[in-house]
Amino acid sequence: MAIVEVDEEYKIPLKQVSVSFNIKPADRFLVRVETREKIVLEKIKQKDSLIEIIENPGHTDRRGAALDLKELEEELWGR
Amino acid sequence: MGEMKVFVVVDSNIFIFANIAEYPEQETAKEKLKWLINKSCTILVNPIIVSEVHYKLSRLLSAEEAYERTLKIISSGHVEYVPLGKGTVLKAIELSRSRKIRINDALIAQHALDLNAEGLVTDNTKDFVKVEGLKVIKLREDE
Repeated sequence: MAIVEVDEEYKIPLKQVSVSFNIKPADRFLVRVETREKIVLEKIKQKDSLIEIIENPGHTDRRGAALDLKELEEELWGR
Repeated sequence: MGEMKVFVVVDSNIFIFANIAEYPEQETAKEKLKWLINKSCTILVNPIIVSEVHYKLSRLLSAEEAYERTLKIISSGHVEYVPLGKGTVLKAIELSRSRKIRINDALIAQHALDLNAEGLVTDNTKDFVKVEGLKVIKLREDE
């Protein structure tokens, strides 16, 4: 168990428990007040940005040879 | 003891397939990336891979969508961006000459070797198999 202190801007540093709880900058928490002395931080599950995009692939109007990745690589790097 | 981290380099074609619904490989590429994530692998990308991803997405989608998708790849918690060092670049130039592979592929292959990555996940095995010591993980390989 760790003890943390509220600073003058009312921020609570969580760095010392970040590894145990897998807390990263920009993570979001639901603050649930249990009693006047007890609050619970519940991590809001956010879908990772890579998983989000591959589960929702984009659509291209290109067809046939225009989809050939080798051709696109040739365009970029040349022969 | 802490969990051992596994690093793999993922080539641009895997990201492109996974990001475009019209590719028949979309589902396979998506599942391959999810498989790596579920195995707690850290996916490594370098400036060459990011350049290729952004260029190819820009040619296939709108500029805005290509921009957003490229940023989302880099900002994923499962992806680590690794810059290229001079030592790697010098060795890649030599590799490109000796193995007759293009400089972009040589930079990716040499970087994977220098980072001690578990392997390189790619759909383009033809050139990468020429690189000694590099474990090529095929997109369609049985897991």
